[in-house]
Formats: sequence, C-alpha cells, structure tokens
Amino acid sequence: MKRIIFLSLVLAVWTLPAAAHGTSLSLRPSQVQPGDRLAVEGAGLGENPVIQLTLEGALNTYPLGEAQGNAHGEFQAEVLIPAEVKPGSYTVVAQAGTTTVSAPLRVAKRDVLRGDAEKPGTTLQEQESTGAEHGAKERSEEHASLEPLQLDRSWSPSETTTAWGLILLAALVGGLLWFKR
Amino acid sequence: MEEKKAEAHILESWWKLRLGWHGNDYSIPALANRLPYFLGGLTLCGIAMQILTGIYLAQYYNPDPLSAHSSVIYIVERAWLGDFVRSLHLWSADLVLITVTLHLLWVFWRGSYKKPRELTYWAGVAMLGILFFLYFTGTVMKNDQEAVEALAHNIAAAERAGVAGVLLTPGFTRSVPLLTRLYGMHISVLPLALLAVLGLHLWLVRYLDIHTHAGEAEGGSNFQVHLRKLAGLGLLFFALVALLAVFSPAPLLSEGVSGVEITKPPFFFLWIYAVENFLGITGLVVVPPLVYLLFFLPPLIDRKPSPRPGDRKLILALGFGLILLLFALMVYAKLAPAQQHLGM
Repeated sequence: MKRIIFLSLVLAVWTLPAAAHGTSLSLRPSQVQPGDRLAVEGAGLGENPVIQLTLEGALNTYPLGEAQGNAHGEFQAEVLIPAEVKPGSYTVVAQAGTTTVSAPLRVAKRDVLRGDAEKPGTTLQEQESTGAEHGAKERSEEHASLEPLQLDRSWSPSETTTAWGLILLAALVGGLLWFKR
Repeated sequence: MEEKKAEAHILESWWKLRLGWHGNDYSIPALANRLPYFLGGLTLCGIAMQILTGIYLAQYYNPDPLSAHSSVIYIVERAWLGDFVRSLHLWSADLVLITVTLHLLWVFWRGSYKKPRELTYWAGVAMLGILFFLYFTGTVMKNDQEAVEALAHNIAAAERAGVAGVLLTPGFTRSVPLLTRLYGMHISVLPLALLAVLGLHLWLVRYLDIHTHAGEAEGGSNFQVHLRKLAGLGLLFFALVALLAVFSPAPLLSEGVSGVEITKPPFFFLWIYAVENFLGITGLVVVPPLVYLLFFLPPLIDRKPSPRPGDRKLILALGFGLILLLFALMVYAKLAPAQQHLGM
C-alpha cells in the first residue's frame, strides 16, 4: 500500500508542471501549400512574451517570424509559409525563452490541393501516392534521375568506432565459436 | 580465482536450468555440421538482423508519401549510425534472399521434401514468398525513383488482379495512402506471418530430425555443438554484412517522379522485369504466382521413396532447368535497355 501511495505521489508531482503550464498551439488550416498564409494561435508562454516561430522539418528549419504575446501569455499571428518549403510533414514551433510549444503541420504539393482535390471521387492520398493525374505536370517541372543522390555520408568518430568495434567483435567471437573444437 | 570460476559456473547453471538448455542436448548426424546445413540457420540470423535494424530505422522513418524520401535522407545524414544501420538492413535483406534460395536448392537436391517432411518444405516455401514480399515492400519505402516505379507496377498489377489484388491498390481505402499501408505490412503483418511460419518450420525440423540418406551416419554430433557453430557463423555473417555496409552503403536515388519508367528492379526481381518485357503488365500478374506455385509441387509429383539424386533425375532436371531459366531471364533483363511497361 505504501508503495502505491509513493508511486501515486511521484506520478502526481511529475505530471503537475505540465498541467500547470497549460501551453497550447493551434494552426489554421492544419494543411497548407508553400506560399500560403497560416494563422497561429497559442497560449502559456509566460507574460508578454516575444515568440519566435519556426517551421521544422526532417531536413530543414524555416523561420516564420516573431509574435508578441499579451500579459496572459496568449498570442495570435499570421505567417507566410516560404515558397521553397518542400511538401511533407512539419512541426510549427513557438519559442519564448526556454518555453516551447509545437503543433504538426502538413505542407502539400501546390497543385494537389488546388484543383484536382476538389474533384468529386478523388482524394489527396490517391493523388499523392499514384501521381497519375499529375505525371505530365511533374515531368515538365522535375527530372527523374538514375543518379544516386550525393549524400553527406561522413561519420562521426563515435559512429566509426561503434561500427568497426561491432565488426571486429563479431568476427573475433564468431571465429572462436566456429573453430572451437 | 577459483571462487570466481565457481560463481560463473553457478550463474551458467542457473540460466541453463531456466532456459531448458538440456532440451538441446540430443544427438544429430555429424554431416549436419557441414556448411550447407547451416543455410537455414544463417537465414534465421539474417532475419534477426533485419528485425533489429528495422526497429532502429522505424524510429526515424516517416511513411507519409510526402515525407518518406526526406526521412530516409535524414536517416543517412543525421540519425546516429543511421547510414550504417540502413545499409546493414539492405545488405542483410540481400544475403537472406541468397541463403534462403540456396537452402531451398540444397533441400531440393537432397530430396528432403519427401514423406514425412512435406509440411516442413511447404512452410519453407511459404517463408520464401513472405521474404520476397518483405523485400519488395522494403524497396518501395524509400520513395525514390526506383520505389515510385515499383509502386506504380504494383498498383497496375494489383488492379488487373481484381479481388486478389484489391488490398494492394490505392482505392482499397481513402483514409490511408498505399505507401503507408505497405509500410504497415512491412513492419507488422509480414513479420508476424513470417515468425508464425518460421515457428512451425523449426518445430517440424526439431521433431522430424535432420534428413539423412540411407547409409549416412545418424549420430556423431550434438545439437548444442551445432548451435554453437551456428552462433559463430551468424556472427561472421554479421561481420561480412557490416563490411559490405561500410564499403558499399545502400544507395538512394532522387525523390521519385511518377509517370516515368527509367529504372530496373533489384536483382532478385529482374526475371519478372524480363517477363514484363515480353508480356507486359499481364505477365506481371500471371507469371510470378505461377512460378511460385511450381515451388510447392515437388512433394506432390515426386512421390518415390528414394531421395537419392540418381533416382530423381527427371525432377532435378526440371527444377534446375527452371532455376537456370530464371537466371537467364535475370541476365537478359540486366543487359536489355530500360523499357516502358505500364502502357503495355
């Protein structure tokens, strides 16, 4: 019983800061295209905060601008999604000092949302996965390539040490086990 | 020193007792410690590598069609050890297909599919099919040019296959993109099916014993020795895969452009590409399932009790003739110029 009370207390203390903060961030719309405007609304970032807004993806981070919060920590802003943003899943991050709050945002291909998606019987995912209807447009805009991408494949010292350590260890132990009489 | 040894011995005994290790203490033929008898075990080691590296990659991979390719770039360029782990995943998949095919050929040569091992053989052939499907779904994940073309071929074939292919078409559901559903299959449905059939296969191998021909010694070794040697070979196998991963990392093409056909599939699927050259997408729908069904036939058509190769000349000629034909088609497809199939 004591254990249960102790664990409950630990859990309560642990979850308390999150509940007390009450941070939130909402985006309208939740799906945009490059070049679109996005309404951002948030709360819980302290008193009169100056908020840095960024769009974070797997490979790139784009600054979206600054917003000024009120005495209750609430803010509203309208930002522009940069035209060079590639379609994909992103996170909009609002940061004031050490406090951050984030919300997911999907950036769609420009011609997917405008036009074809409004056709009855077609869905966004069908157009994105098959691309059949956009093939001609895409071919004129992009070039299919057989050349492997030039990626930055440099390894950190810890990666090199780990990989070679695993190889040598596996070869040594494997050899011992195989050749043992 | 003596005390430490005694402690280690107690610990070892504790584990062995609880793992039921004594269950592995049984006699096996000495020939089971020859290299061809480790091909199945090596495939198992490769599958274990696939699972471990796959779990790591799944932490970084995004199966959303718009984000899949950039998440693979992220894995290669930014995830800690991501390039190495991704290359391990690819190379172990290649080697698993090689070892499982060699294992099948060895079983076929030895006639080990004969009574009472028909079910063991069929479970193995089922695993072969699942492994090939896992390889295909894995190819599609990276969403580069090769992947987009593979997916387009998959959709075209699935749509022509009617009800049989409906799960593999984008139209099956409007709520999830096909790539995301194939990812779901790749990491859950297919591995679960594989492990279930693998469990049956291993259980049958254990209870039906290793197949020997008349006149071959039945004893002479112990299964624990076999397991130790397999562990050693599995680690050497890992070292080989890791060296390949270091010196020949898994490639990635540019993000795929739909509506174009300029790539060819991976080596193991090249024979299907050749079939498409001759018969178009219809060939893709009909021929691979037929060829796959042929692999199930040996226990049904070769019912003579003798497993000796000399007594099974016809079926061996047919079987190896088929393999030779597939290999010839692969070489042809490799050398032939890239061709448009989707309009055929």
